[in-house]
Amino acid sequence: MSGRNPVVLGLLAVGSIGLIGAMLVDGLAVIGRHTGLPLTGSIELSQACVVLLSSCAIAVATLQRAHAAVDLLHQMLGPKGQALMMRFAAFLSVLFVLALAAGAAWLAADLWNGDERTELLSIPLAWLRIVFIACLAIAAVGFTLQVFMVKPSQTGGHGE
Amino acid sequence: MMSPELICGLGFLAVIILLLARAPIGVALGLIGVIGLGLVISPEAAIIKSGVVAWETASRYELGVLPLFLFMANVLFSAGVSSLLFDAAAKFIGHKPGGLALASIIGCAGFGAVSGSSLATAATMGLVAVPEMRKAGYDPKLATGALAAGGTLGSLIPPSAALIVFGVIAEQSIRKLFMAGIVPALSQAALYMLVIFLLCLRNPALGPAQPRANWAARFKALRAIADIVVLVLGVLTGIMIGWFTPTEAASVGAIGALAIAAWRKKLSRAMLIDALMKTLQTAGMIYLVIIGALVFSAFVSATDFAAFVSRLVDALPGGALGAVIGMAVILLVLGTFIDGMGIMLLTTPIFLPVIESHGLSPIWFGIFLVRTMEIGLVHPPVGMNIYVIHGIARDVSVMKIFSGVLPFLAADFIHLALLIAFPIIALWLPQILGGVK
Repeated sequence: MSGRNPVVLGLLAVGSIGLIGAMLVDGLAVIGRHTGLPLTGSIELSQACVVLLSSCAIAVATLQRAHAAVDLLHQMLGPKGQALMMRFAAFLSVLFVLALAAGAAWLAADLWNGDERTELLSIPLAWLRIVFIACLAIAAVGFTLQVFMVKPSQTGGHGE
Repeated sequence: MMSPELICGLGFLAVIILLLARAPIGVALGLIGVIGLGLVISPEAAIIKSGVVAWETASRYELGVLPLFLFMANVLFSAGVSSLLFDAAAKFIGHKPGGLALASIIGCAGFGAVSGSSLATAATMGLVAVPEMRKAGYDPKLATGALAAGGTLGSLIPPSAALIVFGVIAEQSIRKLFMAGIVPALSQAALYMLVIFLLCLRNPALGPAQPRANWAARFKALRAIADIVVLVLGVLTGIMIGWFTPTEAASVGAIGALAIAAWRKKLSRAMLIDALMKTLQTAGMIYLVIIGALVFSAFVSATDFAAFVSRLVDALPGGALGAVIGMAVILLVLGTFIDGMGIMLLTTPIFLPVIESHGLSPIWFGIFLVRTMEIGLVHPPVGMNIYVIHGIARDVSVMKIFSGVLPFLAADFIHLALLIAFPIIALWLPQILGGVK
């Protein structure tokens, strides 16, 4: 998927809000602490931003095929073998991401009536959980598409 | 009915098979973790546990440090840091035999302190330094070998992505890990420079001396990196003396990087979007890896396999030293076919309890593990840094780069042995500043 894909752009926008939000909140918290004007609930705000960032990051990495993998055997195969291996890996990835999404949804459903909120600022966590589950669902769709649309030229495996 | 230990042993084997089948690292670990938990406890518990782990990882404030440092690195990279670092070092020592190779090691150490990643360091510094060395008539083996080895410094010099990931999965202080990484990284860089010095002393034709730069040119080059050096040192010092937490430091670093890019007139909408996209891609890759590793770790904990391995390791002669050497051998063997992050995530749940049972420091273990992982980046057949440098110098064969790396690999083994024999190399700074015993 290209960077112009509207889903990727949407995820990039939300994830960037999370990243820049976390950066600014922490920056203000440091200044506040050293000037005697502490920012109440800064960790809670930053944590909410981190959820947006991490959720979107997982989906973006999936849609952009940026996940780390070991290429040792893959490089030894011909184009057909490589394509088959990539389909299999994508299929396994679908299973894992669906398991994560199912587990996260199970917990969210269990906690829904409890109106889960953060301590100081009462940020509603249920909505953040929904964002996370939605991003896992997008990642699952992304991996599913990779099962059917293999691009043998895209290896990109690394793991550092 | 299979015993839990046998299920876990088969789980390890399955992870290795899935990794070789090119499943993403996080998926290989996590999927086997879910299946294993399903077998050992129940399918319902496995699904719920994986959901808990995924949410706790995604919402973990401390883990915000990783994307923020990545963002800082991507912004500074766009501001042209890599070429400036190499240029400054080359102005000071380029006139010595092998001087540009020495400068590339200094550049790698400097860029490692910005990027936190070995592959990024090798790729970025390689693009800058390899063509310069080739143009200056350096032996291709020395030029490429120095960069492949020097790139590994990025894993150890704080802020290091590998140390952050270790800190999260091993539940250790990232601040103390950063402190512990400094002396080993500097001594590693010093050893690499000694290797280059000795090689060029024996055969000066390997790295011909370049014209000496005058002091005006040197000061100009230093002024060009002054703001970046102040930012990096400020961030690291701030963490060490407790001005801010690692996550806050990463935020301050990212704000500083944006300010530097703006000051240098490099900050544009396109540059910012590119830096954000690269940050999200890398962060997403690492988040999935951490989630997978933690699910796998939960499976390992549920099987008592760590105690089983601990008994095996305890049976080795030599006590704690024998155990550590045994682990180093296993890690190096695994490093011949699995990459560093995979090894770290696969072995930490097993080896960490063994380390703790021998009264060794988990902080030291983190450094030892990352150091061993770095060696895997330059030894065959995986040796990712070799392929990264090969991508830059296409006319230098992979085998030639491997042979160029060999002297540095020998230095790596000496360094690893020193780290095992003298844990104080890693623990000295955290003991002074961080209260580590």
